[in-house]
Amino acid sequence: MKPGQIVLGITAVLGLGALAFSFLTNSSPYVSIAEAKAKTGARVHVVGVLVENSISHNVASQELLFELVDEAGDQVKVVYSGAKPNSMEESDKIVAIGMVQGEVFEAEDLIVKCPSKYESTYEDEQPAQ
Amino acid sequence: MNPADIPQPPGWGLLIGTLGQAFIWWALGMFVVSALLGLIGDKSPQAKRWIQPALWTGLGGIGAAFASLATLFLTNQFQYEYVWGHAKTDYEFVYKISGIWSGQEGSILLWTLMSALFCALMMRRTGGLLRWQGLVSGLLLAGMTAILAFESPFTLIEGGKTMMPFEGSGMSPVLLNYWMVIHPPVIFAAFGALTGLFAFAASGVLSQDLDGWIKAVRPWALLTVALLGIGLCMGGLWAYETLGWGGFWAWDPVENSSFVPWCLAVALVHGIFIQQAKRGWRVANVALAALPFLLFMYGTFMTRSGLLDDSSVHSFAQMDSTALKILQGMLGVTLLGTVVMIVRAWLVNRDGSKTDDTAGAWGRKAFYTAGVWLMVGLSFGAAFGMSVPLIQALSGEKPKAVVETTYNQNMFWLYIPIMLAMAIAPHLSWKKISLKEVWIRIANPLATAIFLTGCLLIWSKWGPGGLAADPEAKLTLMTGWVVNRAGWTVFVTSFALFALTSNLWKIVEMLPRSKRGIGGELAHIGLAFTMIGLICSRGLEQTVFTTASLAEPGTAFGYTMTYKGPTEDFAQRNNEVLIETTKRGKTDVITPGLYYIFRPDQPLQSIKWPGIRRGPLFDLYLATGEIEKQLYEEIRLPKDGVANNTDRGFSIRYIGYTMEGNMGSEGAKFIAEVELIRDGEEPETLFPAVAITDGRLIPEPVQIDENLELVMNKLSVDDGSAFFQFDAVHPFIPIQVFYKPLVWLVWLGIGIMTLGGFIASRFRRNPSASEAQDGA
Repeated sequence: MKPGQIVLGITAVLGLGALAFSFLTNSSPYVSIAEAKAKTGARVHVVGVLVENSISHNVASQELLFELVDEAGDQVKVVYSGAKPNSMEESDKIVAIGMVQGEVFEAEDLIVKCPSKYESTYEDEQPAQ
Repeated sequence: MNPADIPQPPGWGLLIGTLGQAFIWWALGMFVVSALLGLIGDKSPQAKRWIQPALWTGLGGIGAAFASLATLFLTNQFQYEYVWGHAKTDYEFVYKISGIWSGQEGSILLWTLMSALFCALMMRRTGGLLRWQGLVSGLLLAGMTAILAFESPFTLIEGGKTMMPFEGSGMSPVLLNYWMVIHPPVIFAAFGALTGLFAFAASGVLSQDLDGWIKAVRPWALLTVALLGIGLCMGGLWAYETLGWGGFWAWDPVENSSFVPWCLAVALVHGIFIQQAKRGWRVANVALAALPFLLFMYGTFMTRSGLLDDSSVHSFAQMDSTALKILQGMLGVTLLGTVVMIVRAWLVNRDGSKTDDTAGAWGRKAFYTAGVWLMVGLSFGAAFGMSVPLIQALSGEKPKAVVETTYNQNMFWLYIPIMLAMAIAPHLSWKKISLKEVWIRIANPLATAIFLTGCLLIWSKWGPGGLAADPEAKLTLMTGWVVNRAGWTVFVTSFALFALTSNLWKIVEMLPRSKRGIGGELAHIGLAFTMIGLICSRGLEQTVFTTASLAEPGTAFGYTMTYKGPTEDFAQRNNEVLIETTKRGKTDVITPGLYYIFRPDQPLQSIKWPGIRRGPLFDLYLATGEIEKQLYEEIRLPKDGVANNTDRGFSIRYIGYTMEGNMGSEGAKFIAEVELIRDGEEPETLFPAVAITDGRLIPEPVQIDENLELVMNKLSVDDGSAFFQFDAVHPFIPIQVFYKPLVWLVWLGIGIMTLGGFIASRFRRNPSASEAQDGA
């Protein structure tokens, strides 16, 4: 092997390593609502279910507001600057990406999981006997 | 309902479903036969002769199964679980067709069909490779068909032999879009081609002829790149036109599952050029042909197994457990096969000819090599980023996800050298040339790129025909440096401009000599245009939020926006809302989509898609919300509590309430007494109320001014506090308005890239003619 090839190989390995390191260290963890509240100001992913009838708007501050409850039963008010995503009311769950600031979770992005109805079976949809 | 009233499924409907399932098993058998014939092909010429017929017959079986499913969809055979879940009687013809691949089972059927088609086509006229292609293609297709046998679209609902539901459940309303009709067939065709590339690489290794397969695979590799490119573009266009976040690409795991194979297929195309021109790269090309399929399988497993359930906007049901095990098995076998192939290729090549490196660092080979490594790096980055949740979970840590910004920041470091390689490589030769000669060749395109960068900078500063960039907008780089957003965007774009001008220059030089040899340069130009469009449309993007109603138009970027009502009515699937835009006396209408789905005992579901006015310099992109009245968040006031509305310059004081009728009974009415206080004016007393009507609390608002009313939603009987909100008198629609410069370059670029790919694919079928370009 020529010295140039060795140098290129080492550079490639170091480059890919740096890329992997950057992805791992700059990724955002999935946490519970309680953990998100304890990590005020840290960017996190919170997974929860939309609290019924909790969606409201504040047109003046251009915000969509809603409550999210996680598996542990903890609840947080989410503030999102943007239009309401499709199918939000009947989503299985919502992933809010952002950080807790004060009493609210300020979401930069929302991932609304499409409704399970469209992947359910015929039997699931039949009324209970 | 009387059981006698439930319709019986027609006998022919049941027969077609049974036949469909039988065709799947038939195809599975034929693919196994093809593999076995390939295995014994060296011992029996007779066996070798029957490999292709066996595979084509298997393809026929899968095609017949697909046709059977299409028939069931077109004739509303809801006794089948899959048809019931993805079709409805009132769907237009195109949506009945797209329903076929809108779910898991149907998309696996389409993938198998396309894979079989490409494997069969790629086996034509491949001589000594045929036997091994038959073996590997047969095994892979048998695996896919086995998944299909367990994840069958021909499963009946319970009691489906004797009853047929009146109506299907239908697919997600979000999928009722024309892109759903055309995007999946194209992207699955590309995925099918990946199967063929893998079989080609395996046949090269198994035949121990690491050069023979390269010539045959070249046009197919180019076609695969073109198909994947179109498929990715269609997915981006679909997201842009329907999702309303104003972008095309979000590094979603599902997007990455297509992007990673595309990067590797591009690397393969360049690796093939190196092998053909300078020998060498034999082992690397085997890896580059096998990896796209392996990584696609990996991506499929990650997205379909539920592992990335919380990281993707896409919703795929988890696979049937047996089908998932077969997919896992296929992934494992493919991984093992790839490793064995690479090791075997290395052993075969140990005594083979070495690569010719006489051209040195400024030769075309060095730049192609760099380009290949950079594309591999890009694919590694996307695949690694997608795998972060899995890596974290396997290491016992809490799962993490990589956000779009991190992807953009990391991939940027690969983007710059890729653009530079794309700009410089076409001007280099396979033979050694001096650095001075290189400089002479690239000086003119570089000067042109610098000039165009200056033009873009001026345009972003003053924005003639569009908008000047926001001079205050900042961007934080990976290093933590905060830079001017517009300036940084222009700087980043300059690299793509260099790639663009350089390849255009090359085409102008080449045209007198070889008109058909411009495919590669055209593809580069297309990619450069796409990058310019992607970078400028996001980097110079501006957004404003406004609300529009008949009474109070909104304003954004100098446009007055008035809501003029629906085009049909809000229950119609094709309903759009008319937003009249006026600027400098010129009036236009933009029509975002909005309709509601009404279902008993369930919340009203709204389906929205943005309205776009496309232009040569910018797109005006309107992502609307739903029709609203609520302007401010609900407030709770105790007795004597005061709330200020600083926007409109008044405050209210809640004094208390009185009740008419009997507490909790129909007709009971709670009337609040509220003082409206404006600066310098006498307080005005208002009486908003809420009454129990039909068992529900119905507010009776009072008007504050011509556009605003005060609503009392409810009262707390315990402490007498009341819940108020300020609503608009006239319904309004919230609008997120995006100004997106140069978006059309994205689509133009993809078109040119695809054209270039097809020209190169067709042209490179004739190797002798290609030497004119290769030897340049």
